[in-house]
Amino acid sequence: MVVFLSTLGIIAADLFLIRIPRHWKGQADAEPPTGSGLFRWLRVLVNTVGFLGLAAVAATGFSALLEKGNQMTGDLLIWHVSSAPAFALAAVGITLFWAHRNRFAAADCRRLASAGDWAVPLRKLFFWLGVALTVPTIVSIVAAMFPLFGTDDQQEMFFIHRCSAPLLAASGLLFAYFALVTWRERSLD
Amino acid sequence: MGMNSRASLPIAAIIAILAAVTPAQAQTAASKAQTAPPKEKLGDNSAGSRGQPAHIIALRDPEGDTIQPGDVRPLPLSPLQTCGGDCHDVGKISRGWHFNAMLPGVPAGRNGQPWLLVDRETGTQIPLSYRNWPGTFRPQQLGMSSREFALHFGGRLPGGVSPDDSHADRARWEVSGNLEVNCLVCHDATPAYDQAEYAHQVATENFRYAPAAASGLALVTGSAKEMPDLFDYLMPNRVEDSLQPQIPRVEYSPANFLPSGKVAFDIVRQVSSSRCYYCHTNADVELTGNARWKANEDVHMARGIACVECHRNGLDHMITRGYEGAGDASLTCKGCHMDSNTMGAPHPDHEGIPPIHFQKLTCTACHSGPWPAASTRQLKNGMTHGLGEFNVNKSAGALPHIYYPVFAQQEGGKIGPNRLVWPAFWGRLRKGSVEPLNPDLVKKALVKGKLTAQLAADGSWPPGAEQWMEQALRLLDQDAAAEGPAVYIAGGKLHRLDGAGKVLAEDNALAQPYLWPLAHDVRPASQALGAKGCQDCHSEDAAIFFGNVAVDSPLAADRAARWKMIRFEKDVQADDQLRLARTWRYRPWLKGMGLVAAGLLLLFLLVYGLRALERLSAATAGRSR
Repeated sequence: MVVFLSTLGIIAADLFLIRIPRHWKGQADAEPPTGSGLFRWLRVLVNTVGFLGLAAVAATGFSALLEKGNQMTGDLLIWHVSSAPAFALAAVGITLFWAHRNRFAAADCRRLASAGDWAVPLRKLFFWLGVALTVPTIVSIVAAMFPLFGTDDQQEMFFIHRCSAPLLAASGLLFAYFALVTWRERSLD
Repeated sequence: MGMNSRASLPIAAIIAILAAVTPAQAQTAASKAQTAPPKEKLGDNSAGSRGQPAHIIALRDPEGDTIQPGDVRPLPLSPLQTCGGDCHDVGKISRGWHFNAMLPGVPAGRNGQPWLLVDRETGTQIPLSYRNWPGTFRPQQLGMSSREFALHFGGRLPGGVSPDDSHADRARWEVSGNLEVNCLVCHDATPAYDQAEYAHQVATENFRYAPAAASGLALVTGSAKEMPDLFDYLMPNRVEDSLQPQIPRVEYSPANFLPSGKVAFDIVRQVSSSRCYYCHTNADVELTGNARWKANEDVHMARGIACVECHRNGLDHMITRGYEGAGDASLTCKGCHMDSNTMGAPHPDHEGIPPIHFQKLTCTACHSGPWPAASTRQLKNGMTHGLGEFNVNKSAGALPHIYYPVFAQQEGGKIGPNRLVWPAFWGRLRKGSVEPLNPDLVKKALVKGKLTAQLAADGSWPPGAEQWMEQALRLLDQDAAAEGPAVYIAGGKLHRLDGAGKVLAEDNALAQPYLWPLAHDVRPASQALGAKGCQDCHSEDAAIFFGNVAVDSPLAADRAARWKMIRFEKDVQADDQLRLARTWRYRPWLKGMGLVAAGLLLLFLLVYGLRALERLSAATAGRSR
C-alpha cells in the first residue's frame, strides 16, 4: 500500500507540478526520435502487451492480498499464473527494445539539474530498476515450484516474491508514465 | 463369600469400638478421617523406578474377601477389589477415556468410532455412542438400557459399564454382577490372558465372572443368563434342580497360587500393542485371511514404536488421542515431527509443497490410510466385527460395512481421511424428525406379520430387500398405536410410503453417513501423497477429490447413487480443482519460460552493467567515448 501510494504520489507530483505547467509554457524536453517502420510498431506492440501483462499480474496479485489477506487460491491463482508468462516474455521484449535507449549518459546529469527535465533520466532509472526487480520476482516463485525448498524456505521465497512484486509494479508504472511523458514531449517538439 | 476367608474389620467398626470406650477420642479420630485428604495409594505413588514391581498379590472377590486356593465355593476375582483396595485408585482410573462414556459432564472430544448395532433380520446398522457425537444415536434413543448395551458390546470393552436408571434391569444386574473396569485387559501381559473368553463370558451375562475367566487363573462354567431374576450368587444352590448345571461357577487352579496364597501377576505399565489391537484392529477386507501377509503395518509400528508410546496417559487414564487440541500437544504428528524431534522423529522438509497445503490438509491426508483409489475400500474392525472372538463371521461381506478412506472436512476445517458408515435403521417420522426404533421391536412386528428378511449367507444385507422393505413399511404403518409414519433410512435416503402407497426416497439429515477421522496406518514419506508429484492430487481424476464413495444400502437403487469425495469437502469447489488440474500440464512450460525470461534479463543487466562500469572507469581516467 505504501509503495502504491508513493507511486501515485510521484506521478501526481510530476504531473501537476511539472508537466502541466511546462505544457502551458510550451516547454518540452525532446529526445531524438528512434526507430522507424516495423521496429516502431513492434515496440508499440511489446509495450502494450507488457503493460497489459503487468496490469493483469498486478491486479490479480494485489486483489488476492486485499480480499483474502495474503492467500491466492482458485480462479485468482489461475489468472495470475496464466498472465505471468505473457508478462515475463513481454518484459524481455521491452528490455530488448528499450535497453539501448535507456543507457545513462552525461546529458542525464545536466537534465537532473533542471527539475522540468527529469523525465528522461527518471524513465531510465525506473526502467533499469524494473528490469532488476523482474529477476527476483520471477526466480523466487519459479524456484518455489521445484522440490528444492522446504516449508520455511518456501515462505522466504514467497516473501521475496511479495516484496519484489509491488516494487516491480511501481517501477513499471513509473517507467510507463515517464516513457509516455517523454514521448509526448518529443511529439510536441 | 469364601468359606475360609479371614474376617477383616473395617475401619468404621474399629472406630465404633473405640467410640464405646473413649467417645471423645473416637469422635476426633472419625472427624480426622473425614477431613483428611485421600491418601495416595501404594501403586500410584511411584518412587521413580523404571522397573516393573512384582505383582504378587492376593486375589479378592467382589465382597473384598481374599480368595484362597482351598475355598470350597470360590467367588470370581474382582479387579476393583484386587487392583483397587490399597494399591490403585480405580475410581480415578475409571474416569479415563475407555470407561467414561456414560459419565455425565465428560467432554465428547472429536468424533470417534461409534458402536455399530447390527441386526441382519431388520436390515439395521446404526451408529451408537454415549458421547453425543453428531451423527450417532444414544442407546437410550433406541430404548436400549446400559445392560443391553453391555450385552451387545461389553465383550469389546475393558469394562466400566454401570447400571443406568432402568428399573426393569435392576434384578438382572444383581444376577450378572457389574461389568467392572477390568485392568487385566491391558495390563496383564501373561499369554494366558484371553479377551475372547472375556467376550464369551459377557455374552452369557457372566459379567462378574468375565475377568476371572479371561485371566487364565480360573475356569468359569455356567451362565448367569440362564439364572432367574432372584438368583443370588452368594447362595447359588437355591435355584431349581434343572438349572443347577447352569449355575456360574469358578474353579481356580491351585498351581496358580504361591505357598503364601497369593498369585504372581505379570503386570506391565507399557501395554503391548497386541492388546490394543484386540479392539483397535482395522483390517482391509481384501487383506484378511490368506491375503493377510500382504498388509503393511503402520510405519511407526514397523519402526518398533508401540501404541502407548504416543497414546500415553497418567493415572487418570485420559489417553492422548494424538490429534491437535486433544491432550499433550507434543504427542501429535506436528508435536513429534515438527516442533521437537521427539526420540529422533524425522523432521520433514516438505520440499516443493506450498505452505497453503498445511493450512488446508491434515498430516493424515497425505500420510495415513491406504493410497486413495478410484473407489473407497471396505474394512473390518475389532470393535465392530469382534475380530478375534469365538465364531466370528470371517466373510468379507459381513455387516457392518465400513468404508475408507473418505476425504472430508474434519473438525478445525482441514481435509483429512475418514472412515464412514451408512446408517440403516427403522424409525417413526414425528414432527419432521426421525425417531429410531429398537430393532428388536421391529423384529417382533415383522415376525408377527411373517415378514422377517431372508438372511444372506455371507452376513451382508438381506437379498431382495426392495420388496421386503415396502411390505415392512406397510406393515409398520398399520400399527394404529404408533405415532407417525414408519420410515426406513438407508443408503443416505429416507424411505417412506406416500399417500398412494408407493415408496418415496428423499433426503434427510439423519440419513447422512457418519464419518470419523482415521490416523492409521501411517505410510512412510516415500509413499505419501505428493511423493510422485503434484498430480497425485492435482489431476482431473485425482481420487482425493473425484474418487467415488461407495453407497451402502440393502436397496440396489441406493447403491447405484454416485457420491464423490468432493461432496464431503465443503470448502473445495470441483470446478476450481478441475481448472487447476487442467492447467497443470502447462506447468513445465511456465517454469521454463520463467527461467528463460529471468536468464535473458540477467544477461541484459550484465551486459549493460558491464558497459556502464567500463564507461565509469573511462570517465575516472579522464577519457570519454
